[in-house]
Amino acid sequence: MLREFTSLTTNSVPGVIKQGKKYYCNRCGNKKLKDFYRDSLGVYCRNCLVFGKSATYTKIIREQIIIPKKDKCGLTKVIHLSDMQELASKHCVKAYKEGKNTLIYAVCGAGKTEIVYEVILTALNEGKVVGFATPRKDVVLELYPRFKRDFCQVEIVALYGGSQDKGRLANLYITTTHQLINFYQFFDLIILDEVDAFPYYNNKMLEGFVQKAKKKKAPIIFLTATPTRKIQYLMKTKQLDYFIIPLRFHRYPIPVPRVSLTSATITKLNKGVCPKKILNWLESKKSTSKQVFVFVPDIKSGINLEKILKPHFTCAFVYAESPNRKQIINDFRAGKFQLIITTTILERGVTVSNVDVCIVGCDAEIFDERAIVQIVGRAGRDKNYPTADVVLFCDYYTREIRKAIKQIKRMNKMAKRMKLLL
Amino acid sequence: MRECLYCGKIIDKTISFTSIFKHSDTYLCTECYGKLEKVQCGCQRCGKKTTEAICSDCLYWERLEETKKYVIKNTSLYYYNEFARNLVQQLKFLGDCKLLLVFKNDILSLFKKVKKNIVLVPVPLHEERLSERGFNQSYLIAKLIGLPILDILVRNDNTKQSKKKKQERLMLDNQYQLKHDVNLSGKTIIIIDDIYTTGATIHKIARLFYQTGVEQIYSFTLFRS
Repeated sequence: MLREFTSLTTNSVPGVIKQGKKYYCNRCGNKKLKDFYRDSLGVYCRNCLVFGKSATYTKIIREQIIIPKKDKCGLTKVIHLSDMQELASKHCVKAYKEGKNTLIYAVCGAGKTEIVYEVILTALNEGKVVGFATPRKDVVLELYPRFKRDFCQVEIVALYGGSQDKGRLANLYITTTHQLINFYQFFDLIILDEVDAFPYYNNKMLEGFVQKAKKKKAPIIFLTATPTRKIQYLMKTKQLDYFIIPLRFHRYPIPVPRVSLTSATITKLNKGVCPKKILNWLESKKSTSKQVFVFVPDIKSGINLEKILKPHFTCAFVYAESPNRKQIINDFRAGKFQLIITTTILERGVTVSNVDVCIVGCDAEIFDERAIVQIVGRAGRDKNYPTADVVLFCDYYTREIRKAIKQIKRMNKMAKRMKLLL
Repeated sequence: MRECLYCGKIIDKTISFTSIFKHSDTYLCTECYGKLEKVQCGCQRCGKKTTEAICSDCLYWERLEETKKYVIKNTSLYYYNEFARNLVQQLKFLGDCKLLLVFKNDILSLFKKVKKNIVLVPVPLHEERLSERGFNQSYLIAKLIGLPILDILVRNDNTKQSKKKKQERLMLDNQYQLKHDVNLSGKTIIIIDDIYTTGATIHKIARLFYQTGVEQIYSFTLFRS
């Protein structure tokens, strides 16, 4: 038996229903015939199997819950927004009132979270239910205490795999996109952070969850720093309302990466040699106080690189499965070592104040336009250290490298034209 | 274009003469398939990973009063390693019966040379568990093999075998029953199950069939832990 929360009246539906010759999964909205399979009792959906079996013989109970109305919500402290943030915030409120979807396209480090504070408050004061959804669990864990601190008189619940709060009532839900499966026509406003991040990007199932969880006419506010090609197309053809913030909150331009050509980087690393150019660049950082992010395309080359650099630098390598990942990152933040070698897992959400960034083997497929822009966005986030040296080491230029640099330059240019830069 | 049933990656087939002329179904990508460990020599009776010819477990069954009259030869396909455990988890506890197709090729090639007069006996599931899971995995394995199936057993208790300790498994009696009497004289039966751990299930069922006049009792399981 599966449970979902809804604002409609309580009822129950079968997990999978037959529509003509096709099947339809009420749980995840899946229609593809290849994702259904027959077992002894009926037909089940393989798409959303991890959330419990949804089949022709199982029932989904949609339970009505009514959220008690709160009379007054507010912020505990005054949040200072920059002019651009102020405008974006107003834009969100306007879009919400008109019931339109909108996109906030703000560069890395522009302060996207603060922008949506006002629209959340407006909705909450109307007695509505708001969902702040993001594909990544780390983000939920980071935002929950922050929201809890900043909002007063608001019930906030954080939902993620393994959360203790499941089933609690609240006005504001901070949730991973996966957890939205437990809701059906429930939210009056959904804010979707990091739309382009894994696993939401290109995932039909999660997109379906968002559509299912919100009320039919409820608007969605998308937040992103690096729109996908699909969103770029929607923006271009004006199917999606958008607002661009081309500069960071500290009003310095984003550092433009410099490309340095090396030869046969990955092969050399496998042989236990590091290209001279990279070594020299890293050597030059030794005398400065700056910490360095070194991004590598895969785990194997990361391990190789760590072996080579270990005798000369204080460094560590983190990847998704490394056992003490959190510990290493915290040590790096505390400045215990100068160099961190990492795969793309650290491309988002990590803020270290004074860093230089380089990508080794930037021609690899994994470094697409969005990944490069995000990685460059790690540099110069602090007000006190707004400039940084960003180098892309690659064997040859790829289309993605060109596009990423072009995008960064375009944003800087736009900020300059609007006379926003300091 | 087919996706790996376990990890969802697209399986890219290398085109060769064999792939053009010989039809073969692959449901796992090469990476996942490589993680399955095939059973190779070990105990002659049950396939356990040992250096002895017959392992201590099998000797225990031989010494026992009720079971010493017959010897069961068990065949398993793979060892129950970490990856196999994940597969079984998805198969049994999430209820993804499509995953059984993964083993189809290996099962069929194992049963290629089997002679006639064979009846397959899948280990039954309790009714409650069946309605919860939606299928009996042993029955579906038997179906993949494509030999005549005898669905004659009933299961009385509803506790999971994996939740019991070794002693409990051996002690329990009357777990399985025959629905009605059958005459199987001159026939060979193969008991089908998913995992062989202590051999308690197989031996209990074998004991039931001993009175029906079967000639030989074999057992086949997907995994040997």
